[in-house]
Amino acid sequence: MISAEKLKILVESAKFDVSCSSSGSSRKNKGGIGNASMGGICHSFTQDGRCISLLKILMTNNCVYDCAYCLSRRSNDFPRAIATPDEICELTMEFYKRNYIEGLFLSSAVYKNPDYTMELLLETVIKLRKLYGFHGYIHLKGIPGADQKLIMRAGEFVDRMSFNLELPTEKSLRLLAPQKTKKSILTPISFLHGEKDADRSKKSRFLPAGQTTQMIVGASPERDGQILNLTQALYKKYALKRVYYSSFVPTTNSALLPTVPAGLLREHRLYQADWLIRFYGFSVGELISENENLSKDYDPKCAWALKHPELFPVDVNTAPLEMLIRIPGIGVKSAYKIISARRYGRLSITDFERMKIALKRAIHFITFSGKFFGSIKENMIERALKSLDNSKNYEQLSLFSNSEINTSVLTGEL
Amino acid sequence: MIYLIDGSVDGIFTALYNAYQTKTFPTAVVNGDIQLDLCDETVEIQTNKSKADKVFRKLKTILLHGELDKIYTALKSGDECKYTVIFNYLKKTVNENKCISDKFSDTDVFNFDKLVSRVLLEAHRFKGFIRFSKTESGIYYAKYFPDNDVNTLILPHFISRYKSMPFIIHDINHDVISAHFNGKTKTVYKKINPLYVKDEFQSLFKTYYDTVYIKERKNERLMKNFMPKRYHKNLPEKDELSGI
Ligand code: SF4
Repeated sequence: MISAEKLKILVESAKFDVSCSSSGSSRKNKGGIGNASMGGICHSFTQDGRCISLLKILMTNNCVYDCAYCLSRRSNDFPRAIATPDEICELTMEFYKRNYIEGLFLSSAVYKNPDYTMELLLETVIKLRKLYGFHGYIHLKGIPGADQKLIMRAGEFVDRMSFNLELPTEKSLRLLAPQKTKKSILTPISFLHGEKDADRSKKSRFLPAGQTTQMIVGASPERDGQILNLTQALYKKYALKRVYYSSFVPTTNSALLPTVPAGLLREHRLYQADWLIRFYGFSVGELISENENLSKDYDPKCAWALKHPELFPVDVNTAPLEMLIRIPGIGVKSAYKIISARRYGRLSITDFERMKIALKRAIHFITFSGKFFGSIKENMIERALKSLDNSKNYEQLSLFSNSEINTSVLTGEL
Repeated sequence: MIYLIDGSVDGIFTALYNAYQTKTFPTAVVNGDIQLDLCDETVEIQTNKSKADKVFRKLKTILLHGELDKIYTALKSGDECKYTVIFNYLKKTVNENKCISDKFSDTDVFNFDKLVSRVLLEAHRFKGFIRFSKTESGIYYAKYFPDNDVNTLILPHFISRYKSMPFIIHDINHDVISAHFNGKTKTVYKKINPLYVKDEFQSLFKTYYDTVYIKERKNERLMKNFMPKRYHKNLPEKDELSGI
C-alpha cells in the first residue's frame, strides 16, 4: 500500500489541476466494482470549497521539463516520488469501495520522456480496468509529445482525457513552458476528437465523457477577450466538454512570472462568461472584444445588459425563453419556472416573490405585463447593481466569501 | 381544526376523503403521536383502506406520470409540516381537477415542490457523503445521520455500483438499516446500535483531504455551504468521528 508520505508528495503537485468533475459518462458495472453517474457526484468538499469527486494524483512528480510556473519543474529543489501502477490501482479501489471517491484522475510529470510516461499511465489504467475490475470513472491527463498510438489506446479505457493548453498563446508557452508547443498539445486533442467522432455509432465507448483542457490565467499578459475567443474556438473545433481556468498562484519564484496571484475574481468572471457561452446562447463577441478584460464591477451578463438598454425592459409574461435567460439575475432554472407558471395565468411581482425568484438584479430589466418596478436612471441601475456584486470581496476571499456568487460558478445562475 | 393521522400515505388519503365528505378542511394535518397545543380542535382520522383507495384512484387519473411518486418521496421528509404540505397540495389538485405540479406561483404547489426537492437533494448528497468502513468480516458498513429518511432512495445507487460487494447502510436518525449480501437486499426499520469500525484507510483519506486543497485559498465557509456541519460527524476526513 502507498505510504502517507508518498501520497502527500504526489497529491501536492496534482492539486492545481482544476478539473474534478466526474460527469458525462454512464459507464455500467459489468461484473466488477463501480459505474459512472451521468451528472457526477461530489464526495467531499475541500477547505477551499472545491468538490472532491476524483482521487487526483500524479504517477510521478519527477519531471524532465522545466515549466516556469510549476512546482515539479526540473530545476526546482522539491521532494520527488514515483508510484507504481499497482499502488495507484489499489488506492483507487480501496477509496472507491469506501465511497470516498467517484474515480481516478491520473496525471503525471514527464518522467524520462513523454513515451515512457504515457506507457506508465496506460499500463496503470489498463490494469485498473482489467485486473482490478474497476468500472468507475477515470480521467487521464495526456502527455504532450507522446506516441499517438499510446494516446489513442488510452482513450479506449478511460472516460475522459485532457491535454492542458497551459497558456493561451504560443508566445507565452515558448517563454514559460519551453519544451511544450501549441502543436504538441493540439495535435492529440484533434486526433482524439476525430476518433470519438468516428466512434459515435458504437455507443461511444471511446472517451464517453470527452475531453477537457485547462489554462493558467494571469501568468502571462493575454486579455480575457483573447482567452474567451480561444475557448469558444476550442468548443467549436474539438467539441471540448469544458475549458478550465486556473488563476495563477505564485509557487515558484521565477523571474519570468508575476509575483502576485492573479486573484479569484478574474477566474470567476471567466467562468461566468464561459457559462454564458455554453448554456445561455451568448457568443464571445457579444460579451467582449479581443483586447478587453471582463468588467470587475458586474458579472458579464449584467455588463452586457447595461450596454444594451434598447433591449430592455423585457416583459416576463411574453418574452421567449432565449430572452428570459438573458435577463440579469435570472438563471435557466428560474426561466423554466417562469415559463411553466405563466401557462396558468399572468404573473405578477408577488408571484415572483412566491416562486422565490431573485429580483434584486432582474427588477431593473423587466416588466410584469407592462408594469415596471425598477430604477429608470441608468446610473442608478449601475449603482444598484454594483452594490449587489460581492466580487470586491474576492481579494480577501477567505474572509468575505459570498456563497451565492460562488455557488453560481457551479450552477451557473447568473 | 387539526387532523391527526397515523403518518401513512393511506392516512393522508383517508384524511382527504374525510375532508371532502364533511366539506370542512383542516388547517393542519399531523402525525397522531406528536404533542399538541390543547386549544386546537383535533379530529382523529382512522385510516381506512377502501376510502384511501378511492382517493388514490382519483389522483391517479388526475396526476401526470411520475407525479404520484413524489407523494411517497415527500413522505420521506423529516419536516414536521410535511403532512399538511402534502394534504394542501393534493387538495388543490383535486379542486382544480388537473395536474398543476408545475404551477410554481401557487404557494401549495411551491411548498410541495420544495419539500420533495429537499428530500431528493439530500439523497443526492448522500450518494457522495456516505462513508463505508471495512469490518473484519469483510462487510462494508456505513452509518449516517440524514435529516430525511433517504435510505431506500439511495440504496439502488449503491447496489448497482457495488454489485457483489457486501454492504450495510445504517441511518441512525430514522433507525433504518439496509443490507446487501449475495445479490440480495433487505431493509428493516429497527433500532440497532451503530457499529464503530476502525479502518486504516480513514487516515489515508484524511491525508489526501488535507493535502489536496490550495492553502492560499482556504475558505471554510464555502466548504460548509456545500457540506453542512451536521453531516461532518460521518466523515473521516473531518475527523469528527469521536462523537459516535
Ligand atoms: S511538464 Fe511542466 S507542468 Fe508538467 S510537471 Fe513538468 S514542469 Fe510541471
